[in-house]
Amino acid sequence: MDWSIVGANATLLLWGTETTIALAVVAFVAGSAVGLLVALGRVLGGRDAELILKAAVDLVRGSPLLVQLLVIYLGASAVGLPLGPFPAALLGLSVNAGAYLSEIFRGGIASVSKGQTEAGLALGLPRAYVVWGLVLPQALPVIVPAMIGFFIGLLKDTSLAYVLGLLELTRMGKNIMDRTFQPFEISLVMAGIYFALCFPLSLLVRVVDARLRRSGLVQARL
Amino acid sequence: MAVVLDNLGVFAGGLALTLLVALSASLGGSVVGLLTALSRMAPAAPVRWLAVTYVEVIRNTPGLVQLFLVYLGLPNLGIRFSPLGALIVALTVNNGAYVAEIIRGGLQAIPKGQLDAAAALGLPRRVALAEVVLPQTLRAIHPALANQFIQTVLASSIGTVVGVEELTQVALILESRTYQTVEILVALTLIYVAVTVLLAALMRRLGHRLDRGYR
Amino acid sequence: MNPDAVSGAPAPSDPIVLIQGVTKFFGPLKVLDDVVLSVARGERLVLIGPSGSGKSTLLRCVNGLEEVSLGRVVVDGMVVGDPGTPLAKVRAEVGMVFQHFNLFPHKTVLANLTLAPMRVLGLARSEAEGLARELLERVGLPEKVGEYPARLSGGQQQRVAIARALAMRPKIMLFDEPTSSLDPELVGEVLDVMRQLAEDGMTMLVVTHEMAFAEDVADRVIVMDRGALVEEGPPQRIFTDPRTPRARAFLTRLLARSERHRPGREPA
Repeated sequence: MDWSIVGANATLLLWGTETTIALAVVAFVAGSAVGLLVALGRVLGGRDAELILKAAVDLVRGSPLLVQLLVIYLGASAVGLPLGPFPAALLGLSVNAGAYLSEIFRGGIASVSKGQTEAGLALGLPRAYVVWGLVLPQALPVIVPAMIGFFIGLLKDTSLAYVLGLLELTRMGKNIMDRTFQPFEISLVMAGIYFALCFPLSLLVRVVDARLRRSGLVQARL
Repeated sequence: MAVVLDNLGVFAGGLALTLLVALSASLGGSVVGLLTALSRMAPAAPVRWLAVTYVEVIRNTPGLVQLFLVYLGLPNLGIRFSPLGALIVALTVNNGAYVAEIIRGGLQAIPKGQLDAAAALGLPRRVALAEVVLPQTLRAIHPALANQFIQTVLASSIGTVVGVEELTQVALILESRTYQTVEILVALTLIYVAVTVLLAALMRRLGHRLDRGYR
Repeated sequence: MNPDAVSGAPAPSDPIVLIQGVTKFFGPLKVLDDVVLSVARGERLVLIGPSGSGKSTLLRCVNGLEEVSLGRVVVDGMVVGDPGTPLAKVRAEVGMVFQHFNLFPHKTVLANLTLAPMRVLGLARSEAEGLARELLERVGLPEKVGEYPARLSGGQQQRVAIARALAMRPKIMLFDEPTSSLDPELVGEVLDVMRQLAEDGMTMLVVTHEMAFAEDVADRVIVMDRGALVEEGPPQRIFTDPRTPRARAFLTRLLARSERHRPGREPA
């Protein structure tokens, strides 16, 4: 086994890693914004809003991310508004993230006991404030670990931008494999890089979760 | 939409392979997952360590990279798989780690009093495991297992990258022949959604059957 | 000196449970402190004391659910935890009823009762089922045979739990706060079953806060505090005239609610 090619292609792998991280971070931020809006829309909006938003979320969660990326990339050029691989991947990942994060937000809000909402409403506070100012902050101990966990998934999901030809880490690695004919070493290194990015975050999730549980912020479920 | 209707057979074939792959990977993954979960409770430290390492490595690397490792990397070591074989192997290994974690979560959720009662009655370890622990674990985790199966159905789409003619690949082949991009991709998406909705409903039904009396 | 005592085989007059200098640590915490106790066959013992006094832990040492750090527990001639004696043998003689019932929720009442007799004692299914039905009659729940625990009230679940323990035909029954998790109106039905069991001659070790039950049923009341056995005696004396300061302090607090048992007062 020849590991020297790793050193020879280190710069390329680094560029791929940078693209991967950039994709993940931007999609995470955009997805969080979208996800929050969707979650609040479903909680506070009427029945119509809930129906439409639920359908949209179920559509995204019920189909593979890979297909969604292709839909956006190939679909955009088919309707005459071509997108490059990077914007297409970003859009696809953001929409996907938005759907999954909206469920995380919704789940967190639901986990806060009904009594909190009732107490707020009984005091005469407007519904929007009760959700935004009372319930959501209390949902954070549940939401934050789940969001970090989702970000880990997002880092891994950027590998699917491979199918758009985007030079994120996996595509970059494949190109190197094809050139050097050493797929085993390269795929192992690729896996190692993803692991190095994701594993510390996994540990972080566990630490944050334990800390938040101990802090007593998580109200006992009655 | 004519192109879709004219080629229903093609889509059906792709869907059949998708489901076959998902089913195989889920069954295999369940066995692997159960063995891994049990290994985590083994007395020998190296066995425990191996199980934990396996789970952490799989959960922190992308499925596509795992597929490349199996399909492209292993031949370097003399282990060659067909695209379909590689897909199933990679998804099985992938599944195993997630199922192991699901089982672990279920085991931890069993009240300690159950183990106390089984012990107080003098039930041997193996009997307690089979009659008290595992049935309750199953009832606790079946929703998570159902979800995992659905995720595997969706994940099987990475087979298109290595040429397996599952649903996504057959749709892409059709698209490259007919250039009816929008219709085909919309249909592809809707088929996946319909399948996941149906599977979710089916598994909820089965879950209720299992939960009867218990809840 | 009983000749059988020399050979090691238990004679009928020997205590059925011997707790010999038992000390237990949970890490740095000493939860049992050199406890010495012997229980005669057919005796009914009630253990009382503040929370954290080690009474539940002591009970759990009798059937090996907890290991002792120092000293030993002997049940019917068998040393609990002795490498030569499988715990299963000890547990076949000792039945336990838990505060939270611990019925197997995924099995019917019948299955709960027949599982251990079939799998541990080797009874045939028909035998085990017959035994189960008989015991359900005894605890007053014959019609619940096919029900799942979730459909029973707390009091009913606990009575089924008692029947489940009795199905193993134990020589001793341990009760770990059997009524502490029950709504007040359900406590009576469980205590009635326990009273009947006592009347039928079962050796019983009961951890409880039910003072009326203790007074009616117990041959001896043991007071524990901070892991140590502080005082013991017949219930009538313990409740009206506790001699040690720690027992007095605990009982005054506990019985202040119940006029019937204030220390210093004549027994009713």
